[in-house]
Amino acid sequence: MAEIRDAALLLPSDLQAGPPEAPQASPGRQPGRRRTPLLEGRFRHVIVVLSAGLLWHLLATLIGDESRLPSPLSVGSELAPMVSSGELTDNALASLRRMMIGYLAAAIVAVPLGTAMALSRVVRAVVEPPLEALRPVPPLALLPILLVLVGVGDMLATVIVMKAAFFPILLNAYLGASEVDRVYLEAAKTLGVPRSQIVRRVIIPAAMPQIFTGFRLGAQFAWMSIVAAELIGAHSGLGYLIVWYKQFLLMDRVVVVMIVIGIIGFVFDRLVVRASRRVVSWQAS
Amino acid sequence: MDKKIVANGVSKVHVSARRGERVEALLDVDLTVAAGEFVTILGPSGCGKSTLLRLVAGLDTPTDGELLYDGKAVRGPDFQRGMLFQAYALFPWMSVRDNVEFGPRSRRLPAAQYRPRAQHLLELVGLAGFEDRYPHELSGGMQQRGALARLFANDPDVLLMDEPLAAVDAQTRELLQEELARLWGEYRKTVLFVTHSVEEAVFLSDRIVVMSRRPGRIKEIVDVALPRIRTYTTRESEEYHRQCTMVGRLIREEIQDKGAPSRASGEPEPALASPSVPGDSGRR
Repeated sequence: MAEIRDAALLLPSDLQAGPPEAPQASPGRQPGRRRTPLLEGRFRHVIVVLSAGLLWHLLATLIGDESRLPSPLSVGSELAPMVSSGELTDNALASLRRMMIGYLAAAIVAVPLGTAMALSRVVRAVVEPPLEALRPVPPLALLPILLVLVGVGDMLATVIVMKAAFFPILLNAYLGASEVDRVYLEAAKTLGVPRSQIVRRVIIPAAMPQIFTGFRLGAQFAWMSIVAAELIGAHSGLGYLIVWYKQFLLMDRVVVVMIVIGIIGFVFDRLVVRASRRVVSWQAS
Repeated sequence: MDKKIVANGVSKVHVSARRGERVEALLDVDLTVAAGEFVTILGPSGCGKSTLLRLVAGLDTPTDGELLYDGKAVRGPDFQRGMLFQAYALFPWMSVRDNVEFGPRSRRLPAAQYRPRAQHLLELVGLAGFEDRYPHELSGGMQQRGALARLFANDPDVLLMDEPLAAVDAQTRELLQEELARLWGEYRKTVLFVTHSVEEAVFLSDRIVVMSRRPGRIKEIVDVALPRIRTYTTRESEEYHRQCTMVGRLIREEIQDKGAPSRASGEPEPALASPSVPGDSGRR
């Protein structure tokens, strides 16, 4: 199992560690003073986004060709018609639906399986080889065979999402359940707690923070892969929309879709983080 | 006399997983603990005292010899041999009350039976009003009170205590010793207690088992001739001080005679200064 562990540890460290910490006051500053540098203040996100927009605008003006790099203003003006025609919302909903189905399916299988792998040498021996073989295969590498098997459509995109979300969730559930502090297990055993209860009320709760790290990574991978899958294997969805607009060289609309993809991914991540804080509220901060 | 725990020539050899080194933690230990007796195992660190406790708990198996509980060989952990850990080991995801009720509830006893007892114990250890807090919201001393309540709420026959007060501050430690003496007075359980504090051993015990340095064997067994009900006034008595001096001398012999211990051969004794918080690698 060493390889699996290492792989999980290779994941971006900020994602493993959970939500980013609040910015800390720089050590040199007097505690009494209220002035904070621009990029540590409450509006730091707004400031960053505005400056990026400004930079983009300058670059677009410099290039001076809307079909190559549309300006933020023309992109902004495309938003309203795209929403009112329903193009944007319908396709976003199509992507979200596939994502949710694939993601939930992955979670429902991966959490119990990861836990079972941690608890039973037999399960690990049976399940590990095929999973290890499948793990390094990029989700999109499944496209050709899926195109033949299930054809273009919902099923294909959903399966790809499942593949993308499955391993981060599985590996983190496995890690979390296998690294429960020994003292909790011994405390439960000397209390005479039956094995099934130890699993349900000690091992799984103890693994919860790690399981949520898996949920978070899984959501991110799922969302990235759904868009990619729709570039090729779907007749709807945000990925499909990008390809569609690109064919007509509507680059401003392509950029609108890109931004929407980014925002949805961000919001989804925040939701998982919030759910995780609620579930593991028992953790010391 | 009703024999609760009997050790006959018990030895334990730890084999380290990494290098295959063999460490003799316990050598040929013979010990009998009577029902209702408070026995303390005292010794320098690395004398195998925690190992002996873990063997009695069923968390480990002896390499040699036999270990009996109520005349039957110990086979794995059981609620009748409850344990108190130095690292408290309250479950951080359960409220204090859920922790205290966890044992009897998961053994499917009727709530009407364990609820009142749990509440009584929470009040007894001074945690009334803190029932719905999570362990991380409590101080170390309060957490250990919670763990004590959890242990008693499960109503075990034998209490095994592995340096339970080693991680709390000195003042709290004395208070908790007195509380422990009071709880013991109320419930009269058989107790096997591990510590490296001479005063703690004298204050609490009927008998003190002084262990020698590795390999851990019994050096001497001392009867503590103090009135059985111990309170803070016990600490002021002349007899208490005399006993402490006497036992302290035995321990000092042990530390000085054999020279400095070899640090390499560390027995897996919980050397935690504070309870570890697993799962802390998650979010903060």
